Amino acid sequence: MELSCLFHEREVLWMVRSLIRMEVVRLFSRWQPWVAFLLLIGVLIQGYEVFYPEPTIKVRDPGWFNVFLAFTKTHGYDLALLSVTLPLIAVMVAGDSLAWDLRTGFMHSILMRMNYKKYIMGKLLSVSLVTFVFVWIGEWIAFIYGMVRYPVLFPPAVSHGSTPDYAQSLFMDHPILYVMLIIFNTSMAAMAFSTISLALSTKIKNLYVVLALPWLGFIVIEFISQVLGSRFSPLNYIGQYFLSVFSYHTLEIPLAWTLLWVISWMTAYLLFVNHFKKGGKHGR
Amino acid sequence: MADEILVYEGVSKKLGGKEVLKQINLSISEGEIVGIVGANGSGKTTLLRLATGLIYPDQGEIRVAGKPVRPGLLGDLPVSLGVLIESPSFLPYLSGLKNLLLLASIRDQVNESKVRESIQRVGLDPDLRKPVKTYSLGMRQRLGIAQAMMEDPAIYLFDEPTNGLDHQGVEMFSEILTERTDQGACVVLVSHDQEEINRFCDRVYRMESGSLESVREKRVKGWRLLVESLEDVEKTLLLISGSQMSERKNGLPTVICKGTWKDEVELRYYLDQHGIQPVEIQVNAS
Repeated sequence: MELSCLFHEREVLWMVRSLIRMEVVRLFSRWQPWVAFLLLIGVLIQGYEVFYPEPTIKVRDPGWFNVFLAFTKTHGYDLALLSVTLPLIAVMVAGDSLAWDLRTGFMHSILMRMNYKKYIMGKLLSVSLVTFVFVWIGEWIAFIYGMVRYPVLFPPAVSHGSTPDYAQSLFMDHPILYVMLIIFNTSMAAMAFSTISLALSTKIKNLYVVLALPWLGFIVIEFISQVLGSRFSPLNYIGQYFLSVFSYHTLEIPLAWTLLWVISWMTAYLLFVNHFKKGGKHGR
Repeated sequence: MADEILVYEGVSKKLGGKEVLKQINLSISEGEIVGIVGANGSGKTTLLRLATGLIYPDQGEIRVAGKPVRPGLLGDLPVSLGVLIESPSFLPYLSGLKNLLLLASIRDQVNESKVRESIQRVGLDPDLRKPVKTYSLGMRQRLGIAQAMMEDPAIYLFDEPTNGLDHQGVEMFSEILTERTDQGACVVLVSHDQEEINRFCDRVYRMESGSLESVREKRVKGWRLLVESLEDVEKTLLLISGSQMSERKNGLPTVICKGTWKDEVELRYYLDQHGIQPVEIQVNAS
């Protein structure tokens, strides 16, 4: 019995591994992830340039002029575009993967070789992982770019209005860890958006709608939160939490994205599984 | 029967409020090729889909290798299925080889060389780098057949498999069918083309208004052909797929083959049409 369980677990792991491999192959074979990568790096560089201080500021406040602060600011300072474009970038990586499988009928070929529950679990896991790693790597590349563009100096002292309010002590004491936290938050947000796309794919076959809806939803919810003056603003949660008047707790941002990820994961899983339980005709 | 591998028992199915299948009873044994003909929308494809577990019957039961196909069984069938239903489905931006390698990696039963061999077997070049979206219909169909056969499944479900295939392609498909059924696999073949079904299948059914009606029962028989010359042997080997040269009998060159000809007269007529006049025809050759 124990042996058969072990065998079953190994079999499941193997199938998940093969789905991850499938996502990686797709990542390098399609143009959308490349565009997403260029967009990600582009908006991060744009963020650096928006923040790049005037020479007078450099003289006045050297604490401003360092890569750690610059990298933080690229995520939502002034006109930095990352927080506005991340939902779109994230879904372009692999968010339409399930929609492709359904649209082309490739899913049927997969389901002749794999149980549908394992398939959707593996799909959710592999797409999440690929998106997370993709954004994680993109962010690190952007940070390395920042090291070339800005001096690598530790922030000397708290400067009100410029030093982030979010996890301020971590920023001052361990700026590298702070950068990791920011990257983690952004990658988690990206992962949540791609999972929302997967959930939508269980009901919608149009690839463009699957890609655009999370972004449109983001804009609508942002508009509502602006009208209501709510702290639950997607824009703040993606990148403008550093200097927000709402003073977000260090754990609030990663937990919020984790929660959204789990909810969209469960929604996608239940919608997909429920369809097959009914014995419906999925896809074509 | 002990060797029944696919069984439909009182299967009914409604789709979109319309009863597509009504009380279907059908059992298929190892090594058998069963053909189903019928007009478009008569329920042929639904019958195949039911066996895959992609959809479930409203009434009745389907058993694959003795195990009922029930909700949740999809992908966990006791024997593997080689399926080509409707148009072949691949990721359009990947090459044929990459598509098949991705599918093969799920179960990890076959390695790359076996996948390459399957692609070659259907007359495609495994090293062809262009994406599937640039393939012609015939090439996609060939790739679909390679996909279905690469893991040597026990059951094949083919829906209009020769769609888009040229004459050579049809011959290749015929050889594959013979090869696989000789190894004990069973095949369900669905087509609107009666001639095609008659050519390939041991048993033929017609699907009409959701019901299955037996059109023809025929069994594959073994034949021994005693011919006059080695030239006739060559002609016969080229004509009948799966035929083999055997030891001389009564001093005459001999070919053994399998086929569904009703009797000696039918086989002799068939051979005569192709310019072969055997000296003697023996049935049930070993």
